Amino acid sequence: MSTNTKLLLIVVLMTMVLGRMIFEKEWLLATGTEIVLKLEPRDPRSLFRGDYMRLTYEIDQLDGRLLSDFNDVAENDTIFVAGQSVDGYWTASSATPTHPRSEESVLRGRIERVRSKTPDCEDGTECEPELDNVTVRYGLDTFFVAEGTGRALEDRVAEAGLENVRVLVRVSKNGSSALKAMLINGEPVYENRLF
Amino acid sequence: MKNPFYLRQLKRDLERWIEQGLVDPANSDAILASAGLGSGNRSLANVLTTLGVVLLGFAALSFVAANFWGIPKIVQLAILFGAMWAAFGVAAWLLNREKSGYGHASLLLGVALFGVNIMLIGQIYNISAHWPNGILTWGLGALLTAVLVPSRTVLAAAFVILGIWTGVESIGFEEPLHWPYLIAWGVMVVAAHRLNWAPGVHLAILSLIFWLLTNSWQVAQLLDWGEGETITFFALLWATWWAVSGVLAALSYEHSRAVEIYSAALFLIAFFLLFLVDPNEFGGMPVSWTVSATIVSLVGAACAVAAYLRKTFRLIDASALILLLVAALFYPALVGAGESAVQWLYRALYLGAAVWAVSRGTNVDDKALTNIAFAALTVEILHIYFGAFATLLGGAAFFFVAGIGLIGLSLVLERLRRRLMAAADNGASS
Repeated sequence: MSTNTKLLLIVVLMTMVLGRMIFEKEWLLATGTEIVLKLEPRDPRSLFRGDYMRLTYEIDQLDGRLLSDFNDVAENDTIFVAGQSVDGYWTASSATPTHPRSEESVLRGRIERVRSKTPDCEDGTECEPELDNVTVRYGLDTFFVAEGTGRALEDRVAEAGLENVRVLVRVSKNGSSALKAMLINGEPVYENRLF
Repeated sequence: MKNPFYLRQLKRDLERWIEQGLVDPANSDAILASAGLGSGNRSLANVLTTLGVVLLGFAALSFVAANFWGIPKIVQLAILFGAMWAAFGVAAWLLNREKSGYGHASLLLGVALFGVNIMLIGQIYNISAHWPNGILTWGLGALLTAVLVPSRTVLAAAFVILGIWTGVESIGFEEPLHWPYLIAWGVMVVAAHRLNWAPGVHLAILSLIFWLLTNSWQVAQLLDWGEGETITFFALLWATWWAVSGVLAALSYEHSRAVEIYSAALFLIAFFLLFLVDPNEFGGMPVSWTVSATIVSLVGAACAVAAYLRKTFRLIDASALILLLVAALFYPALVGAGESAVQWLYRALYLGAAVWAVSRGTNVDDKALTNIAFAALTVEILHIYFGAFATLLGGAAFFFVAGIGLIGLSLVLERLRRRLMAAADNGASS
């Protein structure tokens, strides 16, 4: 095999690997089920870190009662969150360790933190600890904006209020997700488009 | 570029042959040139070119990155793919014109851009998979390029990238035994040997050492070993590797000396560290430690015996290694009882080990091993010296005596080292 053929083979393989990464996400953005997520205030400091946005969603915090199908909950466990639209926002209704094939829109995430509580028993002693809530990451909390535009976007979000910010997400059948757009007062300020 | 150890030996042999009248002095330069000596200058030019190309690549990337997020996604992707294809295209053009230095530098740039593309596409699409998989993909791309072309430059990059991958998985994600790395390592080792590239073999040894250190530490934490047992296990492991090097030499493995040098250095360091561990840091020798340590020791002893039988170890070499294995194996059990007496006994043993290592180094005419052994001897003497005198003298008197002692010690040791080196050189030339 000549050097040219070898190098062509290498760069074609590399292109295929990169192309697959792109195709999976573009296909998801084009054909996935669209859901609308509600933002939660992250912290008193800036929403933006330099030129990327850090977003916190209402569905990041799940009540422990939603995880009744889990035998044991641990950090870094995979979690599938099923939900439905309530008042225009997608809200979690159940969480399972495997994909519930019967549900239409399911987000796949990873448990980042587990919080337990120790309730008081009827006789005044402490009962066994039980699950309070979990923090989940869906891979939707960080995305990049053009250099120098972060501050302007932050000002627009602050001015509009979080209740007027809508984040559109596309979800695939296996639970993968991709951020499609961010709208402030119905106007797109970020869109994940190829062109 | 030829094996530098071979070239060094050839130079020594030529001097001897000229003295014996076997080779005409007028031919020695031509012989050395045909063996590859003098290609060092070309190698330096290649290295500088490689660095220059990499810096140009980073300059271009920095410029693009500053404006990257403001352009449409399709343009972003076109830039990423275009740059990578251009680097490989230039590499093909240069390699076809037999400009191998520049060609391999461009190849390295292409592989680097593959990694950058993985990262940037991950950011463009907010891909949140297990991120070390991106490093693995990059490393596999580098390895494929290194094996297929073939390219030593890119193989070095593959060692580094895949080393980072296993480091992140082991340390960052606390993977207890990251065995998949060994598959990639095996391929890299084979590639380094096929390329007849000694620095690649050194990279392979260093990579394996790194993997053993990170994974053994993780496993030790998982099995609840104390810090003392963990360091003792490392000492046993490196002593065993030292014995394995003797077996490799018996099998005529050309890099067995490199294995011996690294394992000797690591063993002497690990054994020294035992003296710094508080006896309370020994966790009572869990069963898992006893079993593992015993198995490793038995393997080491068997290899030492095998190396002796195959005559790559002298009787004293095999005996010394077996004694050191036994001593290290029993150290955790003895350290708690009669602390002072045990410590002094093992310190004497360490000094004996360093002296033996000096003898081993001069016997096999290996200056690196001799120097390492001398360094270990010096450090241990200083450790004892400062420890003993610091308790006997105070303040300025201690520093005065310590200073005079250090100067005297350095003179004595340096004269002894030079005398041994000269004796070894004379023995080689006669």
